[in-house]
Amino acid sequence: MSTAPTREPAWQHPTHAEHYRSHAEEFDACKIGMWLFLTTEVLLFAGLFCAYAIFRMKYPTAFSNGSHYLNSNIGMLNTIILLVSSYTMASCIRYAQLNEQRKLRFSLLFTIACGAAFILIKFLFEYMPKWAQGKRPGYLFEYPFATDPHEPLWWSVYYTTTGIHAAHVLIGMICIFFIYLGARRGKYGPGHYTGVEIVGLYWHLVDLIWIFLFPLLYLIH
Amino acid sequence: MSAFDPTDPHGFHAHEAHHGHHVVSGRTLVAVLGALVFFTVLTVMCSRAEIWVGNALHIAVPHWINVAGAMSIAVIKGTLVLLFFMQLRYDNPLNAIIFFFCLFTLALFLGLTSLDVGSRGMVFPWKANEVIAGGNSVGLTRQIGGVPMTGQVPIYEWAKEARPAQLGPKAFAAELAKHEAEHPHAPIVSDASHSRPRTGVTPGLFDAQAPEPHAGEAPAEEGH
Repeated sequence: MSTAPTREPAWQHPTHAEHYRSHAEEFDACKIGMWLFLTTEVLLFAGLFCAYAIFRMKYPTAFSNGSHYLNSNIGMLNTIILLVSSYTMASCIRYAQLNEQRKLRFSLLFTIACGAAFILIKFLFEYMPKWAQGKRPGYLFEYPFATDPHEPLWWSVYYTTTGIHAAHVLIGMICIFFIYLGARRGKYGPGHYTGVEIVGLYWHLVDLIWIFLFPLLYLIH
Repeated sequence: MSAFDPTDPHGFHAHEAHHGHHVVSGRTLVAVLGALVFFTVLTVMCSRAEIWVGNALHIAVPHWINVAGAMSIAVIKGTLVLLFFMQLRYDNPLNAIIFFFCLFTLALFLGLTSLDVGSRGMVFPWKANEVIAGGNSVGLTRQIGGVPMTGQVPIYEWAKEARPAQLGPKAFAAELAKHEAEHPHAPIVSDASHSRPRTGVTPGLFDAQAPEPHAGEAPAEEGH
């Protein structure tokens, strides 16, 4: 701890906005607001899931071929990485509640590292080789061995869903980094961990979306 | 219930004495992570087993087993994440209710769409086919007046030919007259008090070709 012993950490004196009666009320309001935001996120992905459902029903052969082009080992590895990151994020809240500051900071950094690993694996082992082979969405499609005329559509669905999900992972990593900066200043502790909780909810939602995207894209054939 | 507090008539602070949030134990979190990883490996193995059974034992596993298996495992994993990692189990129930209604909306959205798209073929077999520009009656053979005809054009174009062939010229003329009577088209007149409908005010700007001159009007000449 670099903080001087005479200075108390910031979490011991949490402030709240004037329109709240107490810090606890602010916490509850923030949390409900975040859950409302998460519902809009779910409905954003609901549109994509719906597009997936319609196109799979219309063009089952293209989607069956498509899932066979994906390597479920890489998908499984990425799923486990995200699950572990979700675990460390849930632990962050626990460490803040127990005032274990070192573990809190380490877990935040570890969660960011898991997110980075997820995105790196996605780009290096999935997007880049596939793009080079011509497995591209829509009119960019150049893969010469397709057996179904609707395979470009499959790649459109694949790149849109996983791309928007990867963007969420990236945004989540940035948010967790800001939480890490706050944690370094001693902002979070037993009485005050609203930021950790809110960003954690976002990160778990990203995990939740992937839990459904993974079987839909990789496993259903 | 505690005694009435005049400084806090609505009981906003009453719960603060025991407001301490639930601290999920480390063992619970590890157990949930273990279950999640187990189900991930299980769902991948199930998917591979179905392919293996099909290839090695020549047993065709119905497709719905693949879909139902993968999705039910995903639902179990999602529930674990929601209950323990997102702490809905220990949280204010209002948050769970909000999310439940979101999932209800999602179910309506996906369910009704699937019901529509998935059952179209039960009513009209040609609607089960892929969607192509101009409708998909091209190549479809139907009985028109006892004679099988194969469509070469979009279905509404085809109907313009098929209906007269089915009814005969006299009956069709009567139907046409009835249609004209029910949906009268205003005659296109152009005189001093009626202008010709067109898109835009500048002649020739929006029309594909120069408009017809008005009655009694000499066409504009170049160089004027």
